[in-house]
Amino acid sequence: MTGSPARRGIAVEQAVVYGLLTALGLGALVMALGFGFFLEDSRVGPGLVPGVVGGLILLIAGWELLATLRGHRTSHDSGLAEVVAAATPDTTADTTGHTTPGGASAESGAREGGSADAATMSPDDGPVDLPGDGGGPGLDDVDIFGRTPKERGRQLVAVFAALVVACLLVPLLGFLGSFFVLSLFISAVVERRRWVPSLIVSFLAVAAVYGVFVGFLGVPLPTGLIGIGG
Amino acid sequence: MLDNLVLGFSTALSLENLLWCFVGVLVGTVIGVLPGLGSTTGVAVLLPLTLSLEPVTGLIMLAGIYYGSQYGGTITSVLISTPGEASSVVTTLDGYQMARQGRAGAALAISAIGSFVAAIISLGLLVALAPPFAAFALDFGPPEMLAVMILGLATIISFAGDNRMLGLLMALVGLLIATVGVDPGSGTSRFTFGSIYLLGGIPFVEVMIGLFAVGEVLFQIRQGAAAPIKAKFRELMISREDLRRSRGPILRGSFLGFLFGILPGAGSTLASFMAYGIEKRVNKRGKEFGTGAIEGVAAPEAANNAAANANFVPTLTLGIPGGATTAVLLGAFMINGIQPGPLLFEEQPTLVWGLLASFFIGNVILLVLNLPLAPVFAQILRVPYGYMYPMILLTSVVGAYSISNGMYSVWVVLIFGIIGYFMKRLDLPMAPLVLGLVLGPLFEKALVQTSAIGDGNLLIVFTRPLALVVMAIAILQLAAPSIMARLLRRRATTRSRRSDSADSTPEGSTRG
Repeated sequence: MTGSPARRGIAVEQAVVYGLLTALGLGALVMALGFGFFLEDSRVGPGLVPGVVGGLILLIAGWELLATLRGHRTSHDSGLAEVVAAATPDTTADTTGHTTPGGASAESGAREGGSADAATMSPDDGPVDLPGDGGGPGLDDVDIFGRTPKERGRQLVAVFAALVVACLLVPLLGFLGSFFVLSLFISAVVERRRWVPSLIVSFLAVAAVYGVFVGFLGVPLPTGLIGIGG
Repeated sequence: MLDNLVLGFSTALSLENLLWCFVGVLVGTVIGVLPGLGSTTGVAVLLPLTLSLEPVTGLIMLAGIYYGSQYGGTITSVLISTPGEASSVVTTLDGYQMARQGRAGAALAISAIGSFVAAIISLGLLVALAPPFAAFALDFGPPEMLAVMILGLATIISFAGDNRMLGLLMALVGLLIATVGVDPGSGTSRFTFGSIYLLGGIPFVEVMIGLFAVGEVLFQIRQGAAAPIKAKFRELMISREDLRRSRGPILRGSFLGFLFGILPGAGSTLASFMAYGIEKRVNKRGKEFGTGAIEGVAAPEAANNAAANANFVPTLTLGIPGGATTAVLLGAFMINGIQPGPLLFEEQPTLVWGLLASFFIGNVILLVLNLPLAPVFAQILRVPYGYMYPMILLTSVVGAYSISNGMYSVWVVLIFGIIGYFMKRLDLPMAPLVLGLVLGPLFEKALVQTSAIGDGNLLIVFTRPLALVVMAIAILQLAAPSIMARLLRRRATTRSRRSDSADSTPEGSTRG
């Protein structure tokens, strides 16, 4: 399978994630050796659980990393979910593999539940089902606002960067101040909603949070230099 | 027994508890309706709200969110074929078909009624079985607890995703995260890198909020907006015939759901799938399943509610959560300084029985709310996501802040938000990670105690008959599905091949 840019992107991300996990497992194992696996009388020591767990992570993530690098996509193996799928006559048609991919509309609806559903249970050598959700467009599609995956990727980065900036601004603007700005920024700039409704929604949201957390629960939210809400 | 129930109802019927129960089930329904926001997210995000309440009141509200979202998840499954909860995925199969035939009202009504009946049946069973089970569990030593925890992890790994290797990987990551901080056995500080924040361990609720709420929001942004939803108000048109047809499926679904629900690690999703599959086989209208049969809605809806309640059996009596949401609820218990386990029923009768009694009340409220108002709840979907998700983010960070009154919690949420995003994007299952994280400290404690009992020999687990049986079930669970699935698939293939050659009706090939 040649694959679309989005699928290749997923493979790269997979490789990076498995690589990081492999490193995490290795690091945990090495550090755990320093803690000591066993105490005297061969009792369980502080290093045993992290060491064994780290070692297993190293093995599994390393294996998955190699598989990804060699171009094998993670196959769906047969878990309990597949037994259920096989026991449900409706879906055996899918696993015997002579229905068209995608199936009926109800089945594509079922796919959205993610892990636990029958429709993603492809045969072992079948292609990976990309995570789909909420009746939304696929990874390669343009969504209802005409945004391409690239634009949505940029939005994602913008929202996360804004979250980090908002947290950094808390000492200056106060908690509610900076998150009011965040909410307004996301609605009006990132999502390109109109300014007036965005202002109203953001204000109401922050007011509700103030009412519940500061008024009712008495949480001392940081007020910042300007002293908003506290 | 009876005086326990009286005690429970007198607790649950106090004005304050009644109010928070109502808030819980209402918010739970709304959260269930919103696609992507499941009960786990709801309980994690709103947990900080309950910290100022009495423990019993807070837990009543959080549990209300849990079972309330089971009702809410159904609404979107039926109306727009988009399950709000993983456990209502199966409901889309027949529920959505019914809606397309103009019978959405009947489908929603039968799922509310089925859920209610199942809730009452399973609560009866829960009330009857939990105390003797707790008494039985008093004999459990560390080796038995160790075996039960392994069973829980094995169950969640074998059902949480399509790939058990990745499930195992995630469970291990959860266990590893749980080891950060001071080791309970020896007092050694592990993986703290000199940080005083890490000394206390990585805070559990913040991780949940990050993974489930922030991760989900980020994933939805990347995923793009779905088509706007037009849900119409429809009158409820459930006929006597519908009710008669659903009686059997609801009863079978309830008992089946309860059975699967009491397995540690098996959430309500498994129960709903099994109930649908089995109902399809035993029901004489089984062939109509998938085309809008009311039985195909009634059975899984009854099962997922029954399982949600049954999940409380291992959670309350063993302190081992049944699924991801009960894992977060277990965290809520611990934050309140309550350790669920065999002694809970003796030490905290007011809390346990108050909580159980509130389930009855909450389900009555849900039935009354859902029968006439299901289409009203569906209107929530009209709020544009562009306004909705900043609010979810705001609630998440404020909630996190209020747990520790510090920005450290907020940073943890953001870091785990990124991790959650990548997990969703790469289809890595979250439930095993959550269970690993929650069970980690308990697991290690049981391990240390077991090694102390066996004088350093961990193999004594295999000399205790009960522990041995539980371990065997756990291993069977991990190994059996491959074998069974292969057998079933082979049978299905040969059968469909045979029917293809005989006559190629579409029906023949769908019968396994």
